[in-house]
Amino acid sequence: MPVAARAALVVALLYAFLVGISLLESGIGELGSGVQESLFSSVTNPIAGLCVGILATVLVQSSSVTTSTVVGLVGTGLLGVGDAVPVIMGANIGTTVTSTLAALGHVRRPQEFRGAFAAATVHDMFNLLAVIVLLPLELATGILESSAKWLSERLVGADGATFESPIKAVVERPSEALIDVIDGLASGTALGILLIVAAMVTIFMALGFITRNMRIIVATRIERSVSMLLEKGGGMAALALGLVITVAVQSSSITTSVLVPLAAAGVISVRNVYPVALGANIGTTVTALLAAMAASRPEALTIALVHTLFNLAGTLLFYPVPFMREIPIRMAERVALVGSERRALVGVYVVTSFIIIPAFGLLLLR
Amino acid sequence: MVLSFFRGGDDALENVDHEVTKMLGDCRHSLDLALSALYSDGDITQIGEEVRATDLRINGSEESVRRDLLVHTTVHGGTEVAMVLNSLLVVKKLERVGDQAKNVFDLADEGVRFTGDPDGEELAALGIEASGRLGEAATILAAEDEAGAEAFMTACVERMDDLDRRVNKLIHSDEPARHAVPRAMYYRYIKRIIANTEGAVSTLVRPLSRAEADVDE
Repeated sequence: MPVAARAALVVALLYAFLVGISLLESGIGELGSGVQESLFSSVTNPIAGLCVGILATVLVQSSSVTTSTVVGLVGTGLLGVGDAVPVIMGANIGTTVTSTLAALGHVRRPQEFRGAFAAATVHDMFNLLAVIVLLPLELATGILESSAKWLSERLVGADGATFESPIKAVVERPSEALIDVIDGLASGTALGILLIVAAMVTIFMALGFITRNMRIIVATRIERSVSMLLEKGGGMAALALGLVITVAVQSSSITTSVLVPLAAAGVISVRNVYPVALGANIGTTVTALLAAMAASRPEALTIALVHTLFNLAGTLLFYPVPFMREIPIRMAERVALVGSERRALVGVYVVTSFIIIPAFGLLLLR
Repeated sequence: MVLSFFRGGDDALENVDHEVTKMLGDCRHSLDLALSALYSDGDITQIGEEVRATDLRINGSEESVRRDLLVHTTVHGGTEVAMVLNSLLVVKKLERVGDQAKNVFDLADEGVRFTGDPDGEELAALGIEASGRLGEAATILAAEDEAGAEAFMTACVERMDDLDRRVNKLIHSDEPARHAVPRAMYYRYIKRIIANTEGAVSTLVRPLSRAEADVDE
């Protein structure tokens, strides 16, 4: 397919993605108040919210799907920004499972695996540390939410108001047309469930195809810039590169997973992978910001900005100061060393961190 | 680094083509230097330094190509795996040519000189032919000239057989060791250079499954 046609397809998919967000809002609105309450009650506990974020992202293998869905839910006004913050943080942790799984491909060769696993887990460690520091701080002070609200007010107006997004107006039409079609088949909660399913399928597929097509469009550019990264090493330029690639392909997992085989081959060190992963973390927040453009309320933009501010704050905490920078790197190297020596523990680490702990957390705390 | 994402330019495989051309140039330069040492009347220290520096450059190019191919495979997946493996084979063979040119220089470094010998011009012609083959290989690979590759390979095989015959003749000759051994080694190194050059060119036409992995064995 010619690049121009593929680019046009990406624009169409982006539109479909925004329609999906709009449909999600409509679907949630159609649910009965009892269903709405029980749906969101599980995330009122912040740790449970965090677990929901991790599990949902592991399940769909995309933090963008999780965060966009959260933005859509906040856009309905039924999920509060404060309740959504831990879910967003959980999505950040959950997204690292993809590169960790990519590292498992090297498990039979200990030396390769050590490099690959360190490159993959440095992303895990950073996100984990960022949550350990910033979630309690957020719960105690609400600093991320208030900062995001301040920014959001300057951009689209105060919370509680209706945000007249021009994009919202454009994406509402197909959404309303679909509601009219389904309206004849079901009503009330059943209509809501059908719309939510349609919305989730649309969001999931649109984001998946955007990533797939953008990856093809920019593959040569990624290749060229990664070659440059291998030649020149890490630093702020690597961070910017991680951000740019992730914004282009709409997936931090693609960015970080590309580096895993290179780390396995020993051509890139975990120290040079680390800033790219941080840039990817910041870059991936663009999806939620896009989703906020299709939402009706300023709170949607607020939670999308929380996602951006959380990753920026984590980067500021764990990158500029060399001592702090070393913490996630050393942790990743240690985990990789243990993993390469006792490979049975690797499976235990992945299943426990990404499935068992969040699942138990959710069951116990919801 | 970030700007490289936005700028246009070559992908890794195009860069590999440039590196292969550069390597062939370096191999030829190194062999020419080594041959000149075998016919030199003066101090060859500086020639030796240049031969070693060129060999390091050839090794650097091989590493650079390997890295580029690794990135290419990581980003694009396995769709061009045959091309990637062929490119790896080409640079491995050229890296060996660099080593073998160094081996030719080592003969000179051990004091071997062909100047004034009755077969001196014939020996020089063989070296010049091998050097010319490297130039031809660069042209054929750059143009992806399959017909040219077939003709090139036939000519190389003929020369390799001839060099084998020369070595066998020396094995059974009554010539003193100081005469026979340097020549046998020289023939052997030139044969290896031609064989590796032929191997590099053969990637254009020979299926990967039939590629000779190591002509030195």
